[in-house]
Amino acid sequence: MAQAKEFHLPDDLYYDRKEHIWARLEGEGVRTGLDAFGVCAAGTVAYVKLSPVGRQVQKGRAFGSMEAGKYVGPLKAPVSGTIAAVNREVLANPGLLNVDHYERGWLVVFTPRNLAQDIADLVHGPDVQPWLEAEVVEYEQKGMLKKKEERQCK
Amino acid sequence: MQVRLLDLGTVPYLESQTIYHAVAHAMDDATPNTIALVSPDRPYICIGYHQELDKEIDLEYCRSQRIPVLRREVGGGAVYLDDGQLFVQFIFHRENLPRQVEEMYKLLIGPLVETYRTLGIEARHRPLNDILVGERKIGGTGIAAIGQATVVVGSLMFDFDSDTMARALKVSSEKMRDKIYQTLRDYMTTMKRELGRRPSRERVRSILVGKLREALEAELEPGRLTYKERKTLEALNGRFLSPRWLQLKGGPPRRGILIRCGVRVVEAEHKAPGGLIRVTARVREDTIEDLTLSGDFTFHPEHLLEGLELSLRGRRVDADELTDAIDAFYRARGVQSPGVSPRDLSAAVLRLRDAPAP
Repeated sequence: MAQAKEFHLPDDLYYDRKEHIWARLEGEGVRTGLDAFGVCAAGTVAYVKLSPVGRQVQKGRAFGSMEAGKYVGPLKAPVSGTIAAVNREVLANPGLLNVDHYERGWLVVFTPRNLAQDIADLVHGPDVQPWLEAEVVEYEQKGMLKKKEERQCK
Repeated sequence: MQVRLLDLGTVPYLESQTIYHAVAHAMDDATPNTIALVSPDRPYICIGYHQELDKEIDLEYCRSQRIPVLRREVGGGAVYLDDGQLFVQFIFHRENLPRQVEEMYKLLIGPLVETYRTLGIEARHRPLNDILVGERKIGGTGIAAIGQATVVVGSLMFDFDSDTMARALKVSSEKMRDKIYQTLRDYMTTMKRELGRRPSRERVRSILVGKLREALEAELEPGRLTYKERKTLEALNGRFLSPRWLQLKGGPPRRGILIRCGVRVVEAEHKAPGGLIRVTARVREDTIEDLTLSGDFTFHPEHLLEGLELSLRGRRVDADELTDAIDAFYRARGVQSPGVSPRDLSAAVLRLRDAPAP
């Protein structure tokens, strides 16, 4: 488990550096979700929309969208593939992304198309800790950590 | 930085939404950062990207009044829009805007605030994204990532029809509608209300363009849509009117509406052994400003229910504070409510905290 400040990133997962989407290899599938940084940046998640099972999505293209903190944006696939499962629980209760983003707050499972090639771009294993530390420094410099409270309309 | 100004005046209501979407979807590296200024030629309702049309809007009412409904790709709740508002739509390359949502709002709300102040209205930006005059909101804003662009939409409010806004929303009870209507009146304002008259659009537009130029440190170059953008606009005009787009499934229905940051009109329910308790309330921050209790439980003597509602005004939505207050009211007045304890009533009110509002 990589850790910096309040952020925990399991190092058995693979991470999209830009989108802060995690990927977990599970047999033939790749489960995905939003990592702790993504959740911090988003604030309280109000809505999640996910493409249906069977939809083919290319790496870097949207497999859904999310609304949080007066912002709407796409959720981008960390790997290319076909959506094999959608988390209906998170659709009904988007707040799961805020409280349990690595387990109950997962988003979709892909049946990957070019897994070996796609995961080569993702951060994994011993690379997660230094990447996380660099992200914390960058976010602090941008004031992101300090301003987390301000996003709560207080 | 080069900024193109699409100062389009009054446009067909549909295009008051589709123009900025078209610029965003058609954006490529050669597209300049763009600001569009438009007003719609007729009133309409616009729902947020993740809302579900028939859960949020009283479609029968809208049909009877010939008020069309559109869906935008920006979040938030349903809004009533008409020519009493000047829409200010920023369609920028992501790398030309601050990366933080807070900073984006600060940069782009600033010129709207300064425009109001030049007109003599003491407006201020309240983070995250509200513009307030005193405690009243004057216009709203939202951000979305669309295509390669970051889009920030806002408006300058000349006038606002609270009645139609409150009427067009689908709500579970007339109590809820009354509270929404009253809260819109109490917590929203307009240029007409603040100044006692509606300033000319040309004057407001002229001030705004000057303030945008100062804030962005950029010349605003009058421009027009490119061929690619016009073709995208045509496609989006069709898509935005299609039943498939309008009837997209959304998330769970919202059991309340956010009037401005910190002020919500919400409903909550709690099933007690003696019956269902329904609470409809206006909550500011964490304090009850107004509250109505209803349901199918017995409350004796019945005429004291209003007294209980009044006794909860000004209370925080807090378990101990609510239970103490309700207990005290029951003891002082000899209230009886079989199967509904003060703790049940407190639990019902506490559920207001869980009622989502965008």
